[in-house]
Amino acid sequence: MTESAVDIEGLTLSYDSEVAVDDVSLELPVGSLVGVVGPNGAGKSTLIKAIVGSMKADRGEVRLFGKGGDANRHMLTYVPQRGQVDWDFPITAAEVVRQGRFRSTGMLGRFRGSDRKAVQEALEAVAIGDLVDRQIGALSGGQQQRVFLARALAQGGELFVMDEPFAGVDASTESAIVDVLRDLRDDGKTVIVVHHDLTTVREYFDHLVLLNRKLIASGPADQVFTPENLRETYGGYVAIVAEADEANLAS
Amino acid sequence: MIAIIDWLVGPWQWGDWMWRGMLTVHLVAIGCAVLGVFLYLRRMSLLADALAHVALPGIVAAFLISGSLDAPIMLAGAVAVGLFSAASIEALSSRPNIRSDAAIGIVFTSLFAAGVILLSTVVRDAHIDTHCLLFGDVLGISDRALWLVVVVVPTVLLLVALFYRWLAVSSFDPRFAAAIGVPVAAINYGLMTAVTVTAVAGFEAVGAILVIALIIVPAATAHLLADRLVSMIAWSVGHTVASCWIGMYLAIGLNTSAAGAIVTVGGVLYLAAFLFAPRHGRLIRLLSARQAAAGGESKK
Amino acid sequence: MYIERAGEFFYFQYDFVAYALGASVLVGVVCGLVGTFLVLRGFSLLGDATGHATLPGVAGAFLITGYQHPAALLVGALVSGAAGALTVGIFSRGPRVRPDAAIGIVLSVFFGVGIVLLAAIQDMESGRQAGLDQFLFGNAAAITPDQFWGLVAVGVLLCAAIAVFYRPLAMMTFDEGYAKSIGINTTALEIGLLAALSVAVVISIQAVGVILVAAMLIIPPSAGRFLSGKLLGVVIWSVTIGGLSGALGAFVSYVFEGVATGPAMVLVATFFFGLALFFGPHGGVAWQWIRRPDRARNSGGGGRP
Repeated sequence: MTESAVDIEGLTLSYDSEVAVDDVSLELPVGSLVGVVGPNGAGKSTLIKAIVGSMKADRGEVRLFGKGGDANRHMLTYVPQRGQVDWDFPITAAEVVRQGRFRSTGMLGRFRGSDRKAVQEALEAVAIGDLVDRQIGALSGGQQQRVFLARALAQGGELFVMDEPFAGVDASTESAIVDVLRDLRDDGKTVIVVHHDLTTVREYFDHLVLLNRKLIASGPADQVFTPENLRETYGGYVAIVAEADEANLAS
Repeated sequence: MIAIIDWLVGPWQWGDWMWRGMLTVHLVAIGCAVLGVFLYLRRMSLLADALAHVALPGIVAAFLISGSLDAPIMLAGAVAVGLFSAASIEALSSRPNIRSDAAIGIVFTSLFAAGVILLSTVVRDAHIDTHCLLFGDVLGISDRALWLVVVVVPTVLLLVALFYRWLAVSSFDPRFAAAIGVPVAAINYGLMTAVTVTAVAGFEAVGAILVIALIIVPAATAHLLADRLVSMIAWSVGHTVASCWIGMYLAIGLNTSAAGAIVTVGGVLYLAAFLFAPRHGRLIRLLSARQAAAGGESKK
Repeated sequence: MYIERAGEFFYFQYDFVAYALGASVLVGVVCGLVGTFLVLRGFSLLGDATGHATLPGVAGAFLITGYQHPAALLVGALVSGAAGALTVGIFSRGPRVRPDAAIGIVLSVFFGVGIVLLAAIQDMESGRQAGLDQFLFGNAAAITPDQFWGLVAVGVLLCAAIAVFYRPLAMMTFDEGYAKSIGINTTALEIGLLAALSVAVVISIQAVGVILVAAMLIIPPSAGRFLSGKLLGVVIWSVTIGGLSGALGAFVSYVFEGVATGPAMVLVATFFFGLALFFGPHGGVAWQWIRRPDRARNSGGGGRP
């Protein structure tokens, strides 16, 4: 397919007094695993909000699978940053995952066999089997992240958007999540992930978006992940990381 | 033994007022307890405080405009002013130097003050009993109030049942809810409308200030005890029903304010849950922490 | 007729007018001062809880002493108000509790206890319960000279205490973690602030009443935030607006029959808040329009109230 999953044109986003994302244009191909990378306050989460549709643009447009507005929003599945929900909420892991089916069942629709099957498969994919009846606050950070990923899987969709899924997560969860994301990509889905850790960027993603209020670069990971681009994204102070990676690249 | 039964059964034989009072207070309390769970979980408990207070100016304003105190007009006035204040609170707290709690405090105290002044000047001759609005009178329920409650509360509960899934999702994770197409803002304002209507229906029974207790305290108690939303609602209703029964009989026995007694009992039950709830009670946690420490030492 | 009454007010034709005016100004000043720290620390509605929580103390003191002894009532109010504020602190800590709900619980349950006690008083022979009603909405005109000078003395002490502890209080308000790190005992300071709040509330309830005292703690400091970007500036504006609201409120309440002092003060304060909200140089609506007339705005962190 030549169509792009996400097509952003001249997008400018701002909070009350500050411009968070300035005139960004980019295209993300269908079936790619995309990392959005940049320093704190670079507007990564803001950009995600615009893609998800929870923030209005000052200027510019976001098109999903070729259509603007909310036309194709139903094809998008969003996994918010962990810690934005209330861990004291009286809800079990299984109930959170069941919420993933609420869009297709609607407000009053019954849970059919297919819904139950989707929930079951999602739970199996993230391997939290015996914890399903725990209250979510009683789970570890990694387990919580798996639950929210499972909710997204149960929801299904063509485009998955995840905000910092690896923040505060143990190593085994991180690799489990990466496996799930790769499976999604191999099924032809598009996955967008906001990511922090530069050392794993090249290993995880095949397409990168480097952002620091303005778009620094967007393209295949091996073309975009260059010391110059990183220096421009992060300013001088991550030169060390960049050089370390340069060494990696050389070897 | 017989004396106890007599004491329990007796009040029911003294006249209509007992079952009328019991019915009204139960309906109001259950409506409040169910709505309260959602308000509590959305961290909007204090909005209940604001909505209950601004219903007073709402009722007064409705009377000033229409000259009538019919139930629908009263409710419409309270809801209009309630939604107006909810919107102003939201607008105020979107300014960077006003926190949401300050915004709540500014809006409802101002409107309440305006209501009090109108009551004592312009509409002095109207038949609005300030004392009753503020403190309620469980044992002297009028037909009008009884009917209001009987119509309003079951309607509200039915709506909660219909919208349960959306209410639950948007309370837990509003962003996700918006992403799957739940009209989050409409649900939010719908919930506020339901709270205002229920509170106003309950004014004659328990008064504006104590209705706040009926909204917040059962949910807060239930949260200490429940791990699932359904069971939290059940605990909340259980707490409020227990408070109503114990409070009613205490009020009759001690010849004191029924609404006050119900709320006091509710507070005592909350304290009990706060201290002794399995797993989350403070005393229980203290004891188990000590036991764990002792166990750890004996292993050495 | 109104002009006549206004004339009376300004010539202090009656002594009680002077005392009522003095008490109202005192309330505005003290609440404006204490309220600034509460509002900046995000405890705005703690004043509301404390105000409502004084009711059982007032009623309890009446029950114990058997008559309306002013000092006893105020001590009772102080004890139960402080107990309410502390209870909010206890109920807000740890898992499965919500600080906002804690405020609501204390506010309504303490008030409920107060209502039970009031009902008991109503049954008593003494029948002077009518005097307790004025605690609900305040009646500055009923303040006697003795009470007035007592209130002034306490108020001055309170202001002096806050002046002495101004620096650590300011530090804690701005950055609690840092304050702790340089050796400020923030727990003690916090309890001190709660005590100051209780005293301020008790000083105020005779003039504004238990239900509306929160307004005088919240509205003047909130107005002050639009008028100055510095803590001392906010304090000064808050105290000024509080005092002015007290004076004008007492005036309005005297001129218009049936208008209680408390609600009148609150509405005057709200008026000032409105002015500050629109014309204040720090985040005022008008200034924002002038500065950035063109940009469509996204309210970023709004969230739920």
